[in-house]
Amino acid sequence: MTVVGTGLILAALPASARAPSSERPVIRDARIYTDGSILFCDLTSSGMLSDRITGTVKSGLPAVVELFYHLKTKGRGISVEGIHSWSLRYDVWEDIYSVSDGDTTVTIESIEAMDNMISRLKGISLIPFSRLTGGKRFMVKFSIAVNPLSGSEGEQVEGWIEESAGVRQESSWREQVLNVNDLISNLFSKSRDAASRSEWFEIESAAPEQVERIPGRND
Amino acid sequence: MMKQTILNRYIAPLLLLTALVACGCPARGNAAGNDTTSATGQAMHGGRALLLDKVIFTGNRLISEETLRGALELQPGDTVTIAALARARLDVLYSHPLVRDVRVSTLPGQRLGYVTVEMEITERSRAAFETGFGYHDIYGWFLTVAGLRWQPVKSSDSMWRAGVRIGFHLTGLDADWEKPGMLENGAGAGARFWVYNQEHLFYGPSPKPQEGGQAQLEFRQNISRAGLELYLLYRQERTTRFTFGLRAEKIDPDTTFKDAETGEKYPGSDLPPSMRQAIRRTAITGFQFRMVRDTRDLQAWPRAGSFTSLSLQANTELLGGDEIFTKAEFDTRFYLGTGSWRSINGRLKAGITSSGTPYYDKYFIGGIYSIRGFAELSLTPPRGHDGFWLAGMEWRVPLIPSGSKPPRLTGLLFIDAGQGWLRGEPLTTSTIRSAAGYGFRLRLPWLGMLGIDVGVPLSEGTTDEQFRIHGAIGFSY
Repeated sequence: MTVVGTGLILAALPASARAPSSERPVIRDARIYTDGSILFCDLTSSGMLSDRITGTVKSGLPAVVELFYHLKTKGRGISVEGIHSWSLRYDVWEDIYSVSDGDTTVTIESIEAMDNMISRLKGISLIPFSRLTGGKRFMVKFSIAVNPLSGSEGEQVEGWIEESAGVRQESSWREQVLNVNDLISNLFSKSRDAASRSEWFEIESAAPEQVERIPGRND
Repeated sequence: MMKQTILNRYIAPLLLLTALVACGCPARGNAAGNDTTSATGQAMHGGRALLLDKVIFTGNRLISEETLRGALELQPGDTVTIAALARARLDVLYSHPLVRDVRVSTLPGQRLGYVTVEMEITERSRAAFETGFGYHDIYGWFLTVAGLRWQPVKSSDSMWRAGVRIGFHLTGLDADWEKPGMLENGAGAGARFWVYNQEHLFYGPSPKPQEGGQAQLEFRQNISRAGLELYLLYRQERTTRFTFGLRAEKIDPDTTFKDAETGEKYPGSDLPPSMRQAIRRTAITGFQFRMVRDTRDLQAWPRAGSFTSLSLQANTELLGGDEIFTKAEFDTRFYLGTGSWRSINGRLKAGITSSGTPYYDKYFIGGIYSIRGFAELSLTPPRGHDGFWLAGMEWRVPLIPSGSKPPRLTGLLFIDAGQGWLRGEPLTTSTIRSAAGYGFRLRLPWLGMLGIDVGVPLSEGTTDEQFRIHGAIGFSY
């Protein structure tokens, strides 16, 4: 049995060894504050524009920055998860770069300026501050990803197809085939999503009254 | 009675008509691409489109670049959009069984406005260990304890697969081989071998009339089957497949049968009279033709396209068999997406056998993949049907969406109808059976789509149940 198990793992490992290259951004610092009505954060990251992302943007196709956050209070309280995304574009004819969050678009002159902008994201709204009343301590964690062409959501259909490729069907029977190799290699390698996302950066537990107050700061 | 008459006169023909119309339903759609690309749209710059310079592949060690390139519809000079790249990614993902994942990115091309597309391939190992579970229309649920598949690398390579299966009514081994082993256009050959021990279910009156009265009881009988198929095949447009070949099978039924509930054994002489003559050790040899056209966008969760198969068998004593008979089966399903993983689907399936058909090659209807709301095989008398038709419609709605993936939980409403008949007996609408109901499908990682359907009979059945709950793998069709 042990021999069979070892054989299965060895057979699967070559697949995991050939997993796509990992170029993950790193969150260096995060700061939360409020203007009294909204809880905001500023984020400092590095490694946002890998060669792959830079190539895609410079070719004229978009890349997408996604910021994932999870805020929860201690004990039984609120738990909020959300995503903010920004589209990175380059007009190859006009030689203009732009960063858009869907509502507003900022034009920039160079890819270095674009890198600088998305490495220092500021004034990102998380939740209405009033939801943190009651003095309960809370924690927030962040993870960031930059994907070429479309966000992580865009590749999920295809990911699901891989996952479900084992449906076999004849006229009088159907079978769900589980590929043991894929299962094992998934256990030994990061998923596509995890491979492109930064590690979670966690802000230690804080009470609402301890949150820094900056009146009128929401830009 | 009135309820049954209305259903038989109006609903069943309507289902039949709908399914017939569906035979000519639209070709393969781009369901996956639609959801994922519409938000980002085209990479247009002041009305000017980006054009493809070239495609480069990285990470492919086993699969040749030619094979991957051959799968692409995107050609140099074509307009490059997010949708086109999503489609190209699917083309490559489907192109070879060893492609496990594809990551797409782009680089500036040689000239302004041109784009180089880079596709980073993750490959699988050639030997795939498998496990799984399935459902056979007649023999019910089974577990694939262990399976092994050897996958082709080049288009001329063979693919072979073997598996050991254990189920409630089925135990055995099967293996198949095909060359070429990939979904390439052109000719090839294949073989399939199987050895099964199966438990055949049938419904009939108790062999002890003083105990069981006229109630229909469930009985089981063991059968050993071993067979071999050798065929030539031709694939066209990746969606259509023709096979023609020889088929030989030996069937050896047990001389006893047992009551499914009490386990009491009875000798073969106690079988219903209609079965007594039909059940015997037999060898079947003959020719088989099959055509399959599959334009579904996704096999496991179709929202566009159709599936049609036609199978013809001519069995003869010339090849050493004991029986002379013919058999024809037709199955078609259509899928109409109505947006956001909602769809209306329909099905028509029919089959007919000639006189001389051995008992175990006859038809048995009722159950999850036949007419829901009735027990498995319960709508067929003990001697089996000589012909049948089934028709159904189903409306699928997401209950718990999962972004651009298929819903985590899907609800469905269905109506099924069908009829089996015996040669020589008049075919009337009074023997049409129908049921309606609802169901759920849960999408689980690695286990696929599992669920239940609850069917309420709209006409009389054999077991007089008010409703029937069925377990299901995937959708019924």
